[in-house]
Amino acid sequence: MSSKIPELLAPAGSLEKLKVAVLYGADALYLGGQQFGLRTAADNFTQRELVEGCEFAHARGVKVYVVVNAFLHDQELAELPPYVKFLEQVGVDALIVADLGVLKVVRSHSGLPVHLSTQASVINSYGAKFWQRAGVTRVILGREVSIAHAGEIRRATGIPVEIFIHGSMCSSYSGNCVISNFTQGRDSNRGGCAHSCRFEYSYSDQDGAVIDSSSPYFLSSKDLNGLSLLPQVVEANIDSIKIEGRMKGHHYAGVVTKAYASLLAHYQKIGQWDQNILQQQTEELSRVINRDYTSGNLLHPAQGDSIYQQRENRPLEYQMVGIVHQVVKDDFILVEVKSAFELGDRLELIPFAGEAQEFELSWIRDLAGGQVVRTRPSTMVRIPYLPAAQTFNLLRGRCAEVVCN
Amino acid sequence: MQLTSYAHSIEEIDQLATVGVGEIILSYGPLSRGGGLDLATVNLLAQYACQRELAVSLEWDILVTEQQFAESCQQFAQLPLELFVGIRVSDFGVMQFIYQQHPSLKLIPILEGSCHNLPAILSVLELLAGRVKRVVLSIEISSGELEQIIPEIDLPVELLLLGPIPLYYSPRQLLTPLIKQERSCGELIQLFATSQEGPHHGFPLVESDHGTLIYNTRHLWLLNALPRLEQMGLTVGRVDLRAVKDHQQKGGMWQEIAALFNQFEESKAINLKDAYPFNTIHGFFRANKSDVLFPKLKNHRLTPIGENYLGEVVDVIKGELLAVVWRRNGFLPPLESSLYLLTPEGKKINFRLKWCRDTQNEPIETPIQKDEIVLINPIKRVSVKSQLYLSCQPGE
Repeated sequence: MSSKIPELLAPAGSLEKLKVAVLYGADALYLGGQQFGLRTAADNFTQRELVEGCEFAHARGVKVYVVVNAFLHDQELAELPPYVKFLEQVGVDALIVADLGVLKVVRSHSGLPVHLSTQASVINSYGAKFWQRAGVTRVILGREVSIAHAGEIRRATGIPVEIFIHGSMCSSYSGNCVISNFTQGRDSNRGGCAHSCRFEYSYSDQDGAVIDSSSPYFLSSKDLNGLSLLPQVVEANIDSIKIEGRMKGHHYAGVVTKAYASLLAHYQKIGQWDQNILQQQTEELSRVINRDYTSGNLLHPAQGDSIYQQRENRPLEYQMVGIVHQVVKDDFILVEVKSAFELGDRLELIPFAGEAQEFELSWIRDLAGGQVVRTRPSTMVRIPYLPAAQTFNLLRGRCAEVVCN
Repeated sequence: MQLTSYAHSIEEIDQLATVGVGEIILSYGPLSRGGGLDLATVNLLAQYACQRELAVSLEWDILVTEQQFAESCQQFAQLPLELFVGIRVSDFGVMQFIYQQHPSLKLIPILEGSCHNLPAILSVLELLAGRVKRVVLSIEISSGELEQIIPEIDLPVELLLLGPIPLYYSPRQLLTPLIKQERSCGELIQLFATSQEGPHHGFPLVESDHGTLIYNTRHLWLLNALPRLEQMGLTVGRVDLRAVKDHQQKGGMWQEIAALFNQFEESKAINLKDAYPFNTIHGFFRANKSDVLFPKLKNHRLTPIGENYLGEVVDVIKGELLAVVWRRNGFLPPLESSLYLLTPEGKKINFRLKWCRDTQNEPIETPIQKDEIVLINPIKRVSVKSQLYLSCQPGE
């Protein structure tokens, strides 16, 4: 087999989500510190958490990339060198940048490899060459590039390429939307995006006449889903595939990572794509938060059918209810409750590999040993032992049975 | 300071030449975001402008995907390239292409979107060494920053002083579905959008062959700052009157603007602003505080600090126990140790460790490993997420 398996790069919105993504099969993670990224509302990592996250990931052979992908002004740039030095000291594997000024600072204060963020909207071979000359070691291509053309850019330049494979999308060229900047005074390219593309709009023509449209969300992109396109990705010799979603929850981080990891792992082992795994994981992807799926530009340029005509995400069929913190063999599982569930509920344990396992809750006890009928979020409970359970496994329930937010 | 503007006809070139504009910009439809002229007209206007001794620059401001690149290059090659004093380019790939494949052409990098600091701007100039005619700076750079940046650039610098503010650029054809009609090649769809979730009415929308553009509801107006900009060393001021449809009005405005460039008079600037057919803003010229972000929900009291940090409370059972996820590896505080909890509300609660058990309710006697759940004696008024600290270092 001449084609290599691409690196699976998952989002880590917090230390706990980092651990979830690692254990569900990510090859690499990307995360933000407290400054200089584009997800200011995410938990992001303190310096202590960054150290711990790197230790956890590296101990399992997983790489850590840190985003420093805001477009900075001079004053902010001056604050960057100590942070870059700290990141190199911690041992992160690469930085993700979008700004030539940031690139210059990183290169003059560290020897860290630099990946070019999708915010720089590199969508052609010449663009990749430009940034290669500037010193980047990998290009995260704009989401407007197809898999086939990403492969061509790879061949033409020799620079490793990364593409987005799953998650929310900007409908604009990345880095080319400043609606938030001018309407809300929040710089979308410095972490303040107000998601104006998800808003409802009405329209009028040049004469002021109202356009009667059934499409009030004309800017709101459906979510990208490239699971079924992994054969093309491998064929095109893409180096890394990225899952969007540092702002999303544990269930998304775990399930989406597992979906791509399991299909790739089977291919790596057997050399063939398994249709059963594809079907099973496609169903799994329908169970996580999404705005309907599109293949975006991965095959052909996205057009009108790539727009999501609703304000809210699709209603969820499943809700994550907890995360396993401890497994005591033949005795109990200790669960941190994320959403309430009750005695008698049928839940599913999502193992790191293999199908989800359904079970009925025959008893629930709190840490003092008291019986619990209905759990409360932000508490710890013991539930019956399951042989397949491991620390950081996720538990979920059908929304018909548990309370979905 | 020089004035530059867009021309779309012989008449406009005449108007611009008459008022003393030194350079005009031509937009060629296949290479320009918002659409533009056809090949024959570009040829005609470029030659005519040269006859009138006007410099001509060409706008190639679309972002070009790998798929479209070869076609765009072919379209570019058909143009009378020898007539252009510079090619105005947004896509770094297009800059690299011209740099590599057209060594006789000069570049005018449009750095309006991504270069907001001096090192970034200087990096572009370095990478395009010797080939840059001038550089177009971002209107998101404040005047205070411009004062620092412009003197450090050894080339002419251009800034938009009057005209529409682009907010959004997508390759997707997003307006066709709204009007439910096909758009023919080269045609533009122009609509207005009003947010139902914000106060902004009438964003101009344009769909061209290259995708969809959204402009701000107000135009940029910096003509009142001409003396200050001149003092900073700004070399070229760009005025974009393409949205002004009345030919006569446009001619009159160019005349008045050119007069302001020659000799600034505040009263004339005010009159011009009053006559301008669109509402205007100064944008970020006075200050750019768009990094003063929306209130961050993260509670910094919950951020662990220092060597005495032990862990975080993850469950509270009143009168019975506190459950703590242990963060300090290989450490067991002796019973009767002095500890304190910092609650999410910022309250500090001192207490003594009376007992310490594992989740199977067995007393812990060996050092606790990181991430273990530990049960300790209950403390009043403590909630989940409170942070546990040792009051002093062991041995102190």
